[in-house]
Amino acid sequence: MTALPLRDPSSAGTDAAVSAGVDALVAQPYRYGFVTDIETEKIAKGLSEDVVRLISAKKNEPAFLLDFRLRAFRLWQRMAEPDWAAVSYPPIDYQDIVYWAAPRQQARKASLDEVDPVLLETFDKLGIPLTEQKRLANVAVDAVFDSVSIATTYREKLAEHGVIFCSFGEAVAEHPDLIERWLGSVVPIADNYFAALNSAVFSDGSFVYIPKGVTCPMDLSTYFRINSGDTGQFERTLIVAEEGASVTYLEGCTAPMFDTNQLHAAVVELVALDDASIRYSTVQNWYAGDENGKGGIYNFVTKRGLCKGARSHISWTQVETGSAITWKYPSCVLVGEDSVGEFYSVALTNNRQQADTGTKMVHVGPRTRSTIVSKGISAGQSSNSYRGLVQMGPRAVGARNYSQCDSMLIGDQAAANTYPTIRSQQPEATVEHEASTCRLSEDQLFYLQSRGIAFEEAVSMMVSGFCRDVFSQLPLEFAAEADKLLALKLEGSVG
Amino acid sequence: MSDRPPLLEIRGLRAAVGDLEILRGVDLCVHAGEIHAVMGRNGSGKSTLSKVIAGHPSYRVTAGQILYRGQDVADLAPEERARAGLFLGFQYPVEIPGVSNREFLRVATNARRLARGEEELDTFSFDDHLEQRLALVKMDPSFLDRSLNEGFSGGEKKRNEILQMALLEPAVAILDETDSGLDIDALRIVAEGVRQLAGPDNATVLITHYQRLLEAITPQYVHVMAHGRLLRTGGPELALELERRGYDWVDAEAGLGSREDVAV
Amino acid sequence: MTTTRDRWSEALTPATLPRQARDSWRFTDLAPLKALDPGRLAPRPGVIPDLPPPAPGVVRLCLGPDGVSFSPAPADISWPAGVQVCAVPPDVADAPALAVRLGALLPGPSLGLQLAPGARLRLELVLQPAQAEAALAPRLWFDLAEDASLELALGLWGPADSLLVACVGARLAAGAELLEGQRLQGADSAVALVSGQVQQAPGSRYGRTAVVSGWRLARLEPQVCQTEGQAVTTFRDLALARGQATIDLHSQVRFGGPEGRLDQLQRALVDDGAQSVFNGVVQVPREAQRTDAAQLSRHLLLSTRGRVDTIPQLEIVADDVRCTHGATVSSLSDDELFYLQSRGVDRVLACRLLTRGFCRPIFDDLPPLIAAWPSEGLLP
Repeated sequence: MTALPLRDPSSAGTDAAVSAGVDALVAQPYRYGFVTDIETEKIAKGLSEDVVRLISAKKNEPAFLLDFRLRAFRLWQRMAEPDWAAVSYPPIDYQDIVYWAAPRQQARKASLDEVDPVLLETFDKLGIPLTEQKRLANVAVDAVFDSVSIATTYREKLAEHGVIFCSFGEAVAEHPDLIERWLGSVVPIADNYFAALNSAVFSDGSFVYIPKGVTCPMDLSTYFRINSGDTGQFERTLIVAEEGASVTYLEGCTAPMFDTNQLHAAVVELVALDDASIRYSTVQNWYAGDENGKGGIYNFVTKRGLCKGARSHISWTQVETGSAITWKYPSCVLVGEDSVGEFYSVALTNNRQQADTGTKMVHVGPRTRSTIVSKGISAGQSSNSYRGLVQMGPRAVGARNYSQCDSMLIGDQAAANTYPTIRSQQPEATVEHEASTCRLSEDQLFYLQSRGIAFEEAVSMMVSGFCRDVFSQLPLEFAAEADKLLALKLEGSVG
Repeated sequence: MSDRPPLLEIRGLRAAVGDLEILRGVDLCVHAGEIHAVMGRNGSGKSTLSKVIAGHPSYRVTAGQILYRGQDVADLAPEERARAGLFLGFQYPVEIPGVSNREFLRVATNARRLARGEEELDTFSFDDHLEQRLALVKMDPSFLDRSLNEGFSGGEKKRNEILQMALLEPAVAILDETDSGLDIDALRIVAEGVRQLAGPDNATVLITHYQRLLEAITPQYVHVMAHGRLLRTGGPELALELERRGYDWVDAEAGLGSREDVAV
Repeated sequence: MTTTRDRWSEALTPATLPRQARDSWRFTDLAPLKALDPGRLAPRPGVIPDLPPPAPGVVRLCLGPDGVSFSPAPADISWPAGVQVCAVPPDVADAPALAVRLGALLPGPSLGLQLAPGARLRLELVLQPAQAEAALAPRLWFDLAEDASLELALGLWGPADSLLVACVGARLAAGAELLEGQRLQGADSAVALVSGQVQQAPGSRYGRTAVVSGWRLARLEPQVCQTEGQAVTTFRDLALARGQATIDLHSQVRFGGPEGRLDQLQRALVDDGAQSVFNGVVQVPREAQRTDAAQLSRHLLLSTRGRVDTIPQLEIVADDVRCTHGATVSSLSDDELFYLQSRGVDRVLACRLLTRGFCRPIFDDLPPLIAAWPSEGLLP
């Protein structure tokens, strides 16, 4: 990390001086922007029914899955790209994207020893060591490189508990019954444009199955790495927690710096049966583009959890810092009585980033409860929108929701928008929504500085204070990482 | 105790909220002219007892009886109990924005009057009636034209509770932690109000976990509540003993581990 | 010759109607509007309203016998000093709102007033058609010069199967004050579309309090632009949605400059099979530093057949602002009910007291003129 120029406290309070101090702080490089030089197998650009068949064939998929893909593709062709979000980007040419890319290696890795050392090195560099000696002690990791999963750690140990944690492709081969039963059960094929696209061309991803009554003995994690420049990334994650099961799942992601935009359209489905609990955390650090808005990932992701069983619990925690554009609404459908849905989010946008993110809490069953805490931080010339829906259906007797969404604005060119929607058809349900907007004020910064705290430390203190409610939901090592990430992303933006 | 039939008699009362049993067999007998104190630490079931007597819908009576003037009130709605002369002074009086205090007091007073076979008071005669009672609690009349309890301080809320008691003239008044959150002056005023309203034809049950209120109003009977039951009954000296020795000895005497299974 | 019916059909074709699938019409079903028969709608004579006589110095205009003009005629009135009748500027009628487009198809009445610097006026407009199937399309325009002040009480009634389309426009110069009270009462088959366009110069004050009761469909679209900020806007809305009513409030406040203030409170009571929609847009662009905007939406949902859709919408680019919004949807509180019951108030009355209590903050903020109108039958 480069040394940061300290601001002269005596200049605090004048906007020009603040901006100058800020400009000097800008341009902290994106740390994960390198490209791994590895031979990659790619299919030609473009999307057609043949491409869908080709992807399915490459993965040796059973008929039901090819059928699933083809149905999705046909529906997708008739759908229109959504235009309601507060984001703008030039039209995407879906024929100019590569829908399949994989590092060329042995057909099937029998063990980690057979994985290309270049790949292992890549993940090492990203802070996700996969080899036996170095791997993280308490976290099982599925590492996904472009379109394929290259390694999953601790599989055997998890298997002793009956827990299945593997790449999606392996799950299709080894547990086709489970995939056929649950795939698309939470996010239907034609749920939305990007979900339909994903259903047609999804490459790989992670599958988790926690059997009845089992508390997963360690945290599970998938790390997504985009490497190719012109490849779209379409993963699929499916987590099923049977009755009384519980699991904590972490997702991380990075990408190299390219000056073109890459499309990432993933689908995540969670299913929780009676008394099951799933905590899903994301620290998203895709490449966000440069300060002029060139390059970066289009992150158009559909994440949804189904609280199918009574007293089930699904919790989404997300720290969104990367991506040129974020279009993402991790949601909960609360069907089981007394089920609980939670959404904790920090979304930070800087430079020309655009984020339109939030959640949907659909209360179907009686006494279902949900909590939404959203913290949006907009800096630079970015745009940060919270969009949410809380719906109380006719059967949601005694249901409750509490939402809090706060925005922090840094500088006078960033936008913070709030679009919460509340729909209620149930008088015996309570919905409460609160929102506020604040700014990082010079007075507060000055106060901290005058007590001897350095400028950037003061900023980071105030930002993490603002986000505390969300960070406290993250697993410990993730929380520290998220805190650092925000500070890094904000460096140079305050003014 | 007196030979006259009791005003309020509680027999083997058990009550639960959801699946959690909070009252585990309460027996209590209150006659006209008596002042009782129910003491116990937080979570012993005191507040639950008062709410169950008043008919709070969150609690389910699972066994036993609440007899008021010899009649079981279990099936009566809260308002029917109030009109019959049972009064609950709330520990935390609810704030109700938009409902005028004065209008509320009039509606409540007239409901009680009708139930006793008295005439309803029109606005003017009610205001006169109200003025007399107001003096008793030394409440600023400006509170009458505000919304019910909205923005009242703790002391003002409790005075408003005693004012309601003065207007409704209950036969049995149960005052739940009336002394909590009061400064010395407010406590004195509230205690004075309670003392003045106590008479040979009515009875008062004070629920508290401090001795403080009992210095101003001397009860004839002190009951100690723990684990959802009244474990001991004595005279005013019992309150002093509790003040001096705390509550652990009661648990010990009753053969219960001290704080383990304290509910609520 | 094109008939009203033809023009109507044209105005309501799918091509010209707002797209329902999205945006601000997403939650509003226009079927009740389409169900009205344009061939039967006609101006209906006004009734003499059942109101106490106007206080001294107050001008009261009612709907005339022809149903399209005011009575007495504005030209014949001796207005207070500095008040002058003027034309309603066409730009008010050019706004894209549906209300404006439909209003152009219907006859008046219309009234434009200019208030000279420092002029003061208290005005009551009572528009109550006598018969069903009335078409009523008032167009009102108020131009307030520096420090002028207008208190307006606007009563609009919709008999059965009637259509009310009202456009209210105003321009407030520095120091001017417009205090507007609206009462909209309609039969359960009537439709109301009311649009408002108010421009506020710095130092002006605009207060608007509206109580809407009845109707099959009532849509209010008050829009305020504080052209250079530094003005004060207050909105108070109460919807009493019962029966099959849809009461729909789409407000929009834009701050064109710094230090503007907005205080907005919307309340709606929803019973039976009724629906309430609230969409409150607040726009704070970059030039609107030090804006202070507070918006609160509270819904009381009393029936399992009722429906509430509420969408607060804040769009902020300036950083040194204080913007808050809150929304709640709930039924009557059990604790409040129990408290009242424990004092001997029966459940039905306790519900009524609480319901009235819910409505009271809006009634308390009604401007004096309209507050003096009897409100029996309005409250539950």
